Amino acid sequence: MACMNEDGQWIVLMGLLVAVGLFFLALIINQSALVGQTTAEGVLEFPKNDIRDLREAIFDYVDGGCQEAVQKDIIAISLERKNAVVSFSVGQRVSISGQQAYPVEIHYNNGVTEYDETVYHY
Amino acid sequence: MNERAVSEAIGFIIILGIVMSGIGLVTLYGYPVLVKEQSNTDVRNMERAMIVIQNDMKSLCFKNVPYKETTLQVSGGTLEVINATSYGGFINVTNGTTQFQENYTVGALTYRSNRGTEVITLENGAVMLRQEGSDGSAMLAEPRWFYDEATKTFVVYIMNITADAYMAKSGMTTVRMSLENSTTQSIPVWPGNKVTVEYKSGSSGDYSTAWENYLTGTSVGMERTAIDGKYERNDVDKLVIKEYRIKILDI
Repeated sequence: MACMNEDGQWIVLMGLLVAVGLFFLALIINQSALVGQTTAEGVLEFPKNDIRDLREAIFDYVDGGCQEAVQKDIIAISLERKNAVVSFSVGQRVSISGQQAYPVEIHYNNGVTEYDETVYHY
Repeated sequence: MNERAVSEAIGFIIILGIVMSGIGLVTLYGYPVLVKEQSNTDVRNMERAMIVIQNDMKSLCFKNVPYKETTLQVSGGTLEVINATSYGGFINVTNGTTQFQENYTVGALTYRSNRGTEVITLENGAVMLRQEGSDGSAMLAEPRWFYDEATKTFVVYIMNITADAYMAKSGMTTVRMSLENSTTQSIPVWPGNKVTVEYKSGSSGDYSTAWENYLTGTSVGMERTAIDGKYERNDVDKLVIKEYRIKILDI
């Protein structure tokens, strides 16, 4: 025993170090698995284009003389296709920096995103 | 060096003894912990997989996608699909009068752990967890019911799971599903009447606690009535019920 060559002991030591390192790496990977799920979903659920489409449809409705049947259609289609509860109203013309504009109030709610805006349509 | 008291045999026996007791300790204490950890990991993976399936169902229902499939690993348990008609669970919605009162049956996707007591269920668009043999349950991912304050509209989504046969599977699984049809009902609620929802759990277990916490929470804002499993909400002008039929073609 006393005459044994012990030069290779560092290999065993390195092995131990690598094992400990792998253990901590595994712990970190395990912890990070659920991160990102809700964030990604939140981004997907923001209906930017739906709101833009709705706003455009409402502007057409204002240009077309605010027919009640069209308003009902817009509300029904929003609910049927986009699963969103929508309501909007058009006020009396007001003067905005020298131009006449209709104030349009838009309300949009699809259960995830609730959105309200007042926009002036010339 | 003087090595008169050194015996290789005794040294060997001592080292062997230490090694054997080390292995013994690991087997006694370490192995059960390992098995438990494995079971926990399986359940956690399945929770995530269920949320993925829930998102797929949301795509079918809300995003006009006709067909979806997801491949997932079901380990440490079994995933089963229960058809709405044989499930037994339903959601009853009324507008506060006897004129509108309807039972909506819902099916379920259920995962039961082999080693643990966890049961995960995807029912009516909600992912829920409970422990077999205990009363409580919790909602991991919520469905999308909501109440719109501005228009006083209450929107209820029903996701009805149908399957041609009773299906169950372990291991690598591909869940294939498609949207069969959807219907929208818009029911007026007269002033003074309250929208009432009744939840009755089906064969995958009692999830009434999870539903109670969800329905009485902030997004839906209902109140519990004196009768168990019934919830009501006042100040509603319009009740909208959207029912989706999702067909699970294969798992």
